[in-house]
Amino acid sequence: MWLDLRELLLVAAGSVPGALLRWWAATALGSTAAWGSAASDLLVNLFGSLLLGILVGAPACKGGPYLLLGVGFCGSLTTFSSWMLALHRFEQQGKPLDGLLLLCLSVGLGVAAAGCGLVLGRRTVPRR
Amino acid sequence: MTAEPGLASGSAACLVAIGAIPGAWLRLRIVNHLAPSLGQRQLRLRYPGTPGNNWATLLLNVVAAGMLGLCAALLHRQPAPALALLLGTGFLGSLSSFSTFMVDLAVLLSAGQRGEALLLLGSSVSGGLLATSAGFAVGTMF
Repeated sequence: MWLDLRELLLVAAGSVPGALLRWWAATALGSTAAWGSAASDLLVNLFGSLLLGILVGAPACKGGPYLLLGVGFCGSLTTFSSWMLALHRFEQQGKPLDGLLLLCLSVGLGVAAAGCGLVLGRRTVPRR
Repeated sequence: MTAEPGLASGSAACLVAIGAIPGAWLRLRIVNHLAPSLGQRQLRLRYPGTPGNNWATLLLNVVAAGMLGLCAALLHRQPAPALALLLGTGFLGSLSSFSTFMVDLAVLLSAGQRGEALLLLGSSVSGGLLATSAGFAVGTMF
């Protein structure tokens, strides 16, 4: 079924703080950091990847809490499209090395953060 | 993006929030809808519509990147106009997801599927960059 009100409300309740935190980070850090909002997006993307890794790895986190925190919060906190736009801008500004660095940092640290999250999440299983 | 001086930060936050809700909800619904037809060969996770549906997420990320390129070219003045906060930061920022992509990569790597992880990475980055440039180029025509 396409419209499930409970699902919509849970995702919405998570996505609003997620997107607001990303926007707040961009306004707070973006004006001072050398890379502007590319730096703040990198930070929130890495944090979101770690958190989503934990949620996906943790067997206890499913259903409602997962829709709220995983789909809503982490999904909206992190952004692929702004990352791509930042890479495009670096290229247009004649700073391909900055773009390459942003690409490598995002992918390398992002996969590492998600992987650490998965391991941490799996550890939440109570040992018998 | 900083808010327009005329725009109180409260209403700017409202615009971001209003855009984020359909973005996140459509991501879940579209990925759920597309996943079965995109041949999920790799391990199925417990959550439909979220990590584990690599190619559906990739498609959505690339589309959102292209639309953000278009928005950036059309709404380029600084500080960001209201529409840029609603569509760019709120809607497209929430529609695309970096964390889902990263967890997909980590899951593939932990399952030893390096080839597919590399393919996912390469196609996401090249597809996203191409879409952004194309969207931007189209936007500058107007």
